[in-house]
Amino acid sequence: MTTIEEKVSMQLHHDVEQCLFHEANLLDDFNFDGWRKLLAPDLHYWIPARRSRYVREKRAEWVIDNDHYDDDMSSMDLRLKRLSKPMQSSLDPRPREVRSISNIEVGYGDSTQELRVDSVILFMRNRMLDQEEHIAARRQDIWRIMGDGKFELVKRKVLITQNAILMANMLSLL
Amino acid sequence: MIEIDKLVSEDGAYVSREIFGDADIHKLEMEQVFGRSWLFLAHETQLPNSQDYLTTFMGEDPVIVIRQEDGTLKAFLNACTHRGPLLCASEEGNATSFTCPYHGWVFGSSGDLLNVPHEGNSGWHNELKKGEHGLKTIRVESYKGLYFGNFDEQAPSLDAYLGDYKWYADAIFSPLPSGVEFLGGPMRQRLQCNWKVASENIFADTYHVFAAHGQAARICMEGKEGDIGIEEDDSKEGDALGVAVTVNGHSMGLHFDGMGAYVLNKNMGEWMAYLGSQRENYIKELGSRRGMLPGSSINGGIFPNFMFVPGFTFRQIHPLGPNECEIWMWTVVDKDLPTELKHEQVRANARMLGTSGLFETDDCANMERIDNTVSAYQGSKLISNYSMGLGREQYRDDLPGLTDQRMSDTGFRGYYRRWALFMKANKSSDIPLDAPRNIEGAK
Repeated sequence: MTTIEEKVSMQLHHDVEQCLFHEANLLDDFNFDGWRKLLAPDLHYWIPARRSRYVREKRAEWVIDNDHYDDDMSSMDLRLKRLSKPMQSSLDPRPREVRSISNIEVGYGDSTQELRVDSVILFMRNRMLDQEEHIAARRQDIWRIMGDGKFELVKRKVLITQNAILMANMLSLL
Repeated sequence: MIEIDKLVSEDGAYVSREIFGDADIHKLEMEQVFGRSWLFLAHETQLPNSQDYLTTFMGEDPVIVIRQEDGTLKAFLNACTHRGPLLCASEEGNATSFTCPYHGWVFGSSGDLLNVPHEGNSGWHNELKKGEHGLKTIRVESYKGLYFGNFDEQAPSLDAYLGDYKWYADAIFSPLPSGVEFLGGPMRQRLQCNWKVASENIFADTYHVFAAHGQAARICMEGKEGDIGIEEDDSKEGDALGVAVTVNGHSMGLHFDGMGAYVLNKNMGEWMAYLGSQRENYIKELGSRRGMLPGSSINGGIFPNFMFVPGFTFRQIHPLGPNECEIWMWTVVDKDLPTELKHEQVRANARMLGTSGLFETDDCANMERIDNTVSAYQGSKLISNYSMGLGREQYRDDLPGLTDQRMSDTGFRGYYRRWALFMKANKSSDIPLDAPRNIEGAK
């Protein structure tokens, strides 16, 4: 991941930070309709599989790999419908979730209308009576500036730390 | 003393839940089942080049699989023969040799011990017989690009082990002369349940689909025509009911619909167009009846822990003690599938039966809930019921294997009968194989 060199103004940084915190709260509350309003129609939401290889390995990365998420808006809509109606699944009873967002860096993207936003998410979840699960990830986002301190999520790449997923599922959005 | 006959009824229809959580039974399984079964190692497309390797598990044992310079595949226990450290910690790569990070023993891709530090007077005094310390080699055989390993030199050949199941498996793994392709590395998912609980679901469980996945199926089918073939409908008969088959403990549930694997996908039209463009070729390769299987609604598995729902997932369940397992999931497609559809298949698999799958979550929840009860004392004494369709199985003259309609526990019963045979037998030759049958009508 390349680092963000040029940062935005303190005000813009503050607005983006508030947006990320708001987003985390919506997801913690299972408010998928609210979260959907933050998504751009040209969304790309991507959680690639993480591989564990020797540093010296010359063998090329897979051209196509089995990612945990690789979704556009239409497939994200299917997911949100499912998440909104959990029925008898891992999500009913609802787990109790907390997303902590930190390490926020904001710079301009390819245009002045798009922001490159890096952050870290620590996700904690407790399911059923006693199933404690967590995952940490570095997120690399592109947010579109919509005016009035509002933003739309265009791209999100989530680099989770786990290779084998140690949570019972990866259904919770990061 | 574990009495297998008290755990599994002779017909395989009634199974004590002790087998899903008892530590002694689990330990015996490692010896009797995983020590003598053909266990999936790799598909040839995962190791295209000389000295490409991957690391996997056979039962709970770490294993290295590596392509040799002559093109064959070898498999070794992934353990240094000196003191036992995991020899290769990378999940995949290309290597001419493996050096143990502890004392520096170097093993070639053939498994031979090539070099040891301090071999002469500064250490071993040239007394170490390197020829006796090669990696522990595992017997490997292949079928249609799939490589399997077996710890037992006395076990029957992979070909005999698969037997008449090959008639069905061909349609999954060799539908065209160019074969199939495993895309990318596996997704790995830890789950708190016995490995058999995670396995049996895909091996043979047609019954759960609507109760467990109704919500997800309805969401995916919204605005689409057609059904997924196994709706509750007592007026159906013949092939419309599909087929459940068991051979040597391997299982398959199938329809001859030619489309069920893709009806839940986005852009269904593109998939139907691809299947339409290949159907003639499938039929040329597999015959008119079997040639309808590619693209059809199918689930099944090769005993004990390799399984598939074409169009959704291919997977292996690695045991991790009696109450935990790790699910490995691959995307498998026709090698000839257009690249954009290969990408789309990977996305669809993730969305349906991947770690974040809309359907997978239902299954994982149910598997965990089984684990919640089977290890408690009273719960472990209860009996699980696999008797749907018991007594209705038949040997048909147009299909190999022992069959029933698809909505039937036939596959489970075959699986647990096989499991019991492995658990009881003193040696592999005591485990009978289903006699191959000559099926004229199957052409």
